[in-house]
Amino acid sequence: MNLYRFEVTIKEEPIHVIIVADSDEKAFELVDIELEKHYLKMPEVDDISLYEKKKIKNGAGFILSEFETIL
Amino acid sequence: MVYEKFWSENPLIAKNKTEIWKLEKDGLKIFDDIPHYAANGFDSIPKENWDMFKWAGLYLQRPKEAGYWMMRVVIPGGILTYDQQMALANIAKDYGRDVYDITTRQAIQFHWLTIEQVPDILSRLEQVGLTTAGACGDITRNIIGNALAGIDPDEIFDTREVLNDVFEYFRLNEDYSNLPRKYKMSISANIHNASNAEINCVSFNPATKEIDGVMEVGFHVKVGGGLSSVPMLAEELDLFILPEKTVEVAAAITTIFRDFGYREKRHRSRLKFLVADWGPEQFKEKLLEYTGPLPEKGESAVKGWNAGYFYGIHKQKQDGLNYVGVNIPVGRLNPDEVIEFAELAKKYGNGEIRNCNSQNLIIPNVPDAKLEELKQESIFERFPYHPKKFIGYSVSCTGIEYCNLALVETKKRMRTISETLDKEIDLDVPVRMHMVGCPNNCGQRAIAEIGLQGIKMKNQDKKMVEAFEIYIGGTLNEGGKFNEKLKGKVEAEQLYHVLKELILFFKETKLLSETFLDFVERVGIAELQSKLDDIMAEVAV
Repeated sequence: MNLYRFEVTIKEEPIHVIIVADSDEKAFELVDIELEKHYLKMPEVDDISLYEKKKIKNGAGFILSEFETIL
Repeated sequence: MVYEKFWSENPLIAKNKTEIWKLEKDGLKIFDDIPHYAANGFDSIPKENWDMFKWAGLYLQRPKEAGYWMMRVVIPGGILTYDQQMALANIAKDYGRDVYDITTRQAIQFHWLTIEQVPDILSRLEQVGLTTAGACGDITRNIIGNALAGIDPDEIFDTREVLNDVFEYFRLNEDYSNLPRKYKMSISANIHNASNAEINCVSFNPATKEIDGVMEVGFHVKVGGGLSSVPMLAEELDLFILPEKTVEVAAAITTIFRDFGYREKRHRSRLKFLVADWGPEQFKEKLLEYTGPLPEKGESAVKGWNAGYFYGIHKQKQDGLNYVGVNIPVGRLNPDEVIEFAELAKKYGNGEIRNCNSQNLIIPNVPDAKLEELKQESIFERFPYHPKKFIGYSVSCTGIEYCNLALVETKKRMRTISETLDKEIDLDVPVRMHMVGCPNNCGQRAIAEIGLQGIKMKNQDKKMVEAFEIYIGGTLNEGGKFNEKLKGKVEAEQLYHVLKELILFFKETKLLSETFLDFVERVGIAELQSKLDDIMAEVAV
């Protein structure tokens, strides 16, 4: 199982999305699901990018201090 | 235990599982356990002991549960004898599915090993004086040096003995096998910064100083460099180190790292974090507490940066002898090729091969009289000593093929792109391109003229694809500067086209002999971003 760090760009605004999944494909699917849960009305997604993954274990995590996506 | 592990009393350490097991059992003790595990198979290895194998140079490949290991072999300064080269080739042939990689720290990596094979491999290595201890783990890693040490007209003195003394001092030394994290040293007296000083935790770099009326050669020291996901350039200490003091100073710096380096959190454990907090002046004062007085800085002898490239046939500093710098595309060979190089080195030189931190190799000590015959050898058709401008300067991490962290395939892709660019674009200067499969920078993306970092993205068809972000303008000249990211994400399938167009723009706009780095500095990032935007727009259509 992995911890995934995504950036999703919606209306030229990047947002962080963190996902737990057992494969890259599944992680991308779960990004869609999280977005659907988060937004009352599903926004138009410009871009979904996976930047990093880590094995799930105690202490695994990401610091989200800045965005990778340059707009 | 010959020193006090006073950090064991630190309550914060109790939260770090790695630090706990390191206190309970030294990492190097894994060598005692390997015969048992080899006799009983991979399933006999408790999962919590997997990480300890790093101290024996062994990492599990992806997926870890399959039980295949990557093994890294320490090659101090990159220098290999004929017997060592042959032993390594035969290990790759007998056990490693014919994969033999030269790393960016002058070491060798094998893949696809099983635990049952490891005792025989270690025995074979020991018979030729090689070790895997210190290749991985929280320990002094392979000490990199000037690949031309001892034969280099551009070195201010021969560093082989110094490097070997430092290596021997730390080898299997349990005083230094429980460091906060990995710890990378370089020792070079090459005036072109052959060992990439600024991205090592500690680097000894060529310098001169007049002491008591005598002009002495020695080192300046930089500390706190490193790449990974938060790259830092090393800072110079105001000290001059005579060669005979190198072991003492290296030991003192390592002791400071061991005893004062941060252990609470592994992501803050590298020496660079301590140096960033203390600053070079405080670090120097602490170092002097261990070493006693040392002279202040003299004159740096560094005149530039060659990125570890030594292509071509060149005169050695010894009259009548030559070295041949050969390109090994992305550092990968098969065992038959390794054997072929070893035999050539024996026939034409003294059997020695030198690994470069640019993932290439050197055949040294070829007498003038044998040069012409050597040049006719067919191996140079596949591995040229005057490589083309792209494949000759391409570096790649291992990528998704073997690495658990990588998001994309890198090695084959980097090679294909570079070789195709070479067929289609003729340039008067090389372009240093580095490709990495994740943010961890194993392929040293941050110092490339063109850095390519892999991501995964959903494309316009909502399909998950491999993609890359482009960074430009990295260098270790004059203290170093990391490259800057351009806006835009390039699908892997379009990467070749985008790079080709970007490089054609460079070719058409550049001045004669202008490097890509100088070009970036002259025209500016904005101009290149604008060009990339145009290329991307065209690709999107």
